[in-house]
Amino acid sequence: MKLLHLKEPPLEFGGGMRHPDIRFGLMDYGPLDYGMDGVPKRIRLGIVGSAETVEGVARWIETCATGFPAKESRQPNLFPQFPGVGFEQTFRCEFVTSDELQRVLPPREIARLVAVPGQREMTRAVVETIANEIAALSERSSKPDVVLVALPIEIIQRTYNARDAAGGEESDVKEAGSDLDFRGMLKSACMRLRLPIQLLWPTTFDPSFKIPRKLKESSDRRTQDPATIAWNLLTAIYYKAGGLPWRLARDARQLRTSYVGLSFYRSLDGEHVHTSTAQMFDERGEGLILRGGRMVESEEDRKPHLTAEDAYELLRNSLRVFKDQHGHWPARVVLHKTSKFDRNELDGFHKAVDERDIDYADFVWVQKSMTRLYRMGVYPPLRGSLVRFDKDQALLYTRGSVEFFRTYPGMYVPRPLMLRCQALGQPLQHIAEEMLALTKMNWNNTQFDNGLPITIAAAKHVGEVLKYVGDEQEIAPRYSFYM
Amino acid sequence: MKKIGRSDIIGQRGMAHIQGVVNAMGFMFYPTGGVEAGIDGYIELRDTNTGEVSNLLLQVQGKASERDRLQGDTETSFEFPCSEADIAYWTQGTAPVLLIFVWLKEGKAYWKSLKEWFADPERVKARKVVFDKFSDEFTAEAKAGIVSVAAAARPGASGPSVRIDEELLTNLVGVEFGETLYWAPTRHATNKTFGAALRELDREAGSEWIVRGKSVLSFHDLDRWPWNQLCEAEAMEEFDVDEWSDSDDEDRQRDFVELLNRAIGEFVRPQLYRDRDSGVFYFRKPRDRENLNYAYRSLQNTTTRRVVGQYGKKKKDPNKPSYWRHSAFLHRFVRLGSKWFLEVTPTYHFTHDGREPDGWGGERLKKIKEIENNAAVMGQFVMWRDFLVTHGRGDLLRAAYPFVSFENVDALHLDVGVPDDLWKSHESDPTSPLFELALAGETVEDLAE
Repeated sequence: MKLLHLKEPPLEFGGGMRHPDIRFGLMDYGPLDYGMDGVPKRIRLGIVGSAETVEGVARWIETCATGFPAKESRQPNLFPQFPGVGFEQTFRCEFVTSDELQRVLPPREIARLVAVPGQREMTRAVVETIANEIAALSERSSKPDVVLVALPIEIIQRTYNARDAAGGEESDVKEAGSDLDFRGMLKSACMRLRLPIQLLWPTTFDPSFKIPRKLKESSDRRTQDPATIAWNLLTAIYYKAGGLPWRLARDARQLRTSYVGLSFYRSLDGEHVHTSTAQMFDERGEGLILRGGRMVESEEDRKPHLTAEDAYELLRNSLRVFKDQHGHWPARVVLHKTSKFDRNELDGFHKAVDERDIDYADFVWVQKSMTRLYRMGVYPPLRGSLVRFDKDQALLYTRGSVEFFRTYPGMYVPRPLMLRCQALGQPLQHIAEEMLALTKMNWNNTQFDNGLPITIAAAKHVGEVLKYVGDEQEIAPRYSFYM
Repeated sequence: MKKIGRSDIIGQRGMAHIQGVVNAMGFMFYPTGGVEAGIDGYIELRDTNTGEVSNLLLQVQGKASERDRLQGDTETSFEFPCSEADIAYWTQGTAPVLLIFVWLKEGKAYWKSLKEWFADPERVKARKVVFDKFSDEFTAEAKAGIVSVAAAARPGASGPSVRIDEELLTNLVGVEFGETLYWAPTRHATNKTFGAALRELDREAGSEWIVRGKSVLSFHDLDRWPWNQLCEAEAMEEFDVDEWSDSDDEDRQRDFVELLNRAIGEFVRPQLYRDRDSGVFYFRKPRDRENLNYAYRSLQNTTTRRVVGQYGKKKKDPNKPSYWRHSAFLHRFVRLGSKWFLEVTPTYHFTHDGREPDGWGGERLKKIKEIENNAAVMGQFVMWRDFLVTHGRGDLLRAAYPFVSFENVDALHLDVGVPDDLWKSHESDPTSPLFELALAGETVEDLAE
């Protein structure tokens, strides 16, 4: 057993400048694509909600232009100010809305929706109503770039239940219950409209807004300070509008790599397990989405796995997508999966890799672990701590004490990731460094210490939405429609 | 005749001391020299591993004294008087200023970040800096504090890593097991029927066996009574345990883990019970007492911890406790780097009467996790590790448990660490139980009561 510490990986921002932190990187250098062709200059925001929430969100967008002060604290790196947006500030672009981009649900309609009996029926009715409003916006001659959905609290109370709001990071395969996940359903319903959407809670524009205790407890929605809210939401919106806020800082000598995350989701009837895939390209940090085959129970461990044929198909398609984007095949393929690769899957993936003469393949089985480290102090081990057990197995802390923040931004003791490499093309430490860097590629969160690499986090998000998309329906290829 | 005054020599000695300490931290010190209004030099931070310098600078105001006694001198502190002009000069600039006082008589130096000290208007009025002789000592160990002052002055600056050597524990305990496994055909097809038949013969027979496809695999010698009554002992085979423990075959690994699980269930008797639903092992409540304290060797000394206790008050009858809390752990046998370990995860088990599970157990566990930090969980792990390592060793009255035993795993070493006290002082609520070092030990009980 050997313990070492990996440094916080740097990210690349505007002008090729680097910083380990997302918010300070954006503040100092602007987004990665600043100054490039086709970068968003004026992001038009549609808003759907009640009279109150639409007005609140519109006001909030205005306030964002001038910014929010840092939270009162002695941890300025954890809670920095949001300096505002403009051509010289942060995203170096404008975020605007106007009356013709807004759709207000009449109070009568809201009352009707809230009165629909039954959780499933009510959720379906709300999704239908909101999707219709967004469809109306998408037919306008001047379309919005992103639509903000600001639900009134009466509707939130009825559509969100404890399980949805808690987020599905813990379980590998979400159980199909009788309740529908409102978020996943709405995203899938809006997919055909080709307009990315962003859900907002009333606390965004009104910090004094009281979220009912039941929802708050189950949703991990501890009230954030206004600067942090602005950082997170505007970053997500910038990405959804086609911008690229940052990417992994890379060495030009490194191999051109395609990172693929695999996750599973249970079909709505609960009978089948499907694969969802999110693919990351090194230089663009863009996520592309694929739908994989249905899984079958394996003889090895009696758990769902892909057949050799489906595994081959999936990776072959994924490599094809890479080729379409770059004009050449990747030099290296990295697969991240939250369960063990069985014999058939390994055979299928290797076949696809061999077919393209790709010399380097790393197949990594990633799991949250109960094997832990304890420090002799109040703070848990540092993020970046790495315990090597073997040439192909190691424990990596992605959450933990963060030197840059000078605290542990979490509760209780963090759970590290157990990494097991079932095919190894690069040294284990390199795999771990990459994994740590990929945790910083989550455009939904500007606090960089995410627990999971974006490959897996994105694949999970995709599964939550694909669940509601019929087999024959075409799926949106960009990650913006799933996050 | 040219002269150099005594005070100049004192000043030089002071600067030399400061330079020495700064260099020992691995940082650079640049004396201002020549004309200066009160700043004697600059410290430039530098990453000791890579040698990188990131233009993070600290201004230093150095003072030195040969006096025997300082102003307001006590065992623990002394004062340094400042003029109003000095204070204004130090606090209005952009770079942080450190006051470093060298006490030549003792050969020691002390430091204070002046902007932080004078952020309190009361202190500006008092016109003095009070040094703590322990926490303010300026030695190479003050490096983490210096880095933090420099980094805080410029949000977003990341400063060089703080090199603090640390020892960390893994929540793993080494496992040794019996050398031989016995295999024999049986007419029983399941654990259940085999177990029932076994208990008919001998109520006390151990559980360290499993039935697979009409054969039994066991740590017990199947050629002896009562085992030979239930299988074809003449067809019995003996195996070296490593044919299972070192096998890469998944079925063999699964079977071996199940055998180990059955063995640990026997091993922890009679002190611990296993909860059927959660699978945790927990200290059972003694028949004649309401609480149980367990004595063990912690990292430094012998100590006790309350491992079964009653908490809360019943609404209907305030004289009765509403529940019992039992120290518990979840376990898993894992093979890491070709060695077997027991992974121990400390937790709690809740009962409503000392025996039967408490319906609110889940809620109570969530609450306690909200106040327990790394130190608290580590403290509980150390207790469980001591239990596992010392339990079942055998003594004059009892033979040692034969099939599994446990041993300490060496701590791991890391050359980067966390300055706990410094970070804690920056928390928005340093009084929160989350940052209570005392939670590391037994005192968790006092807090909960």
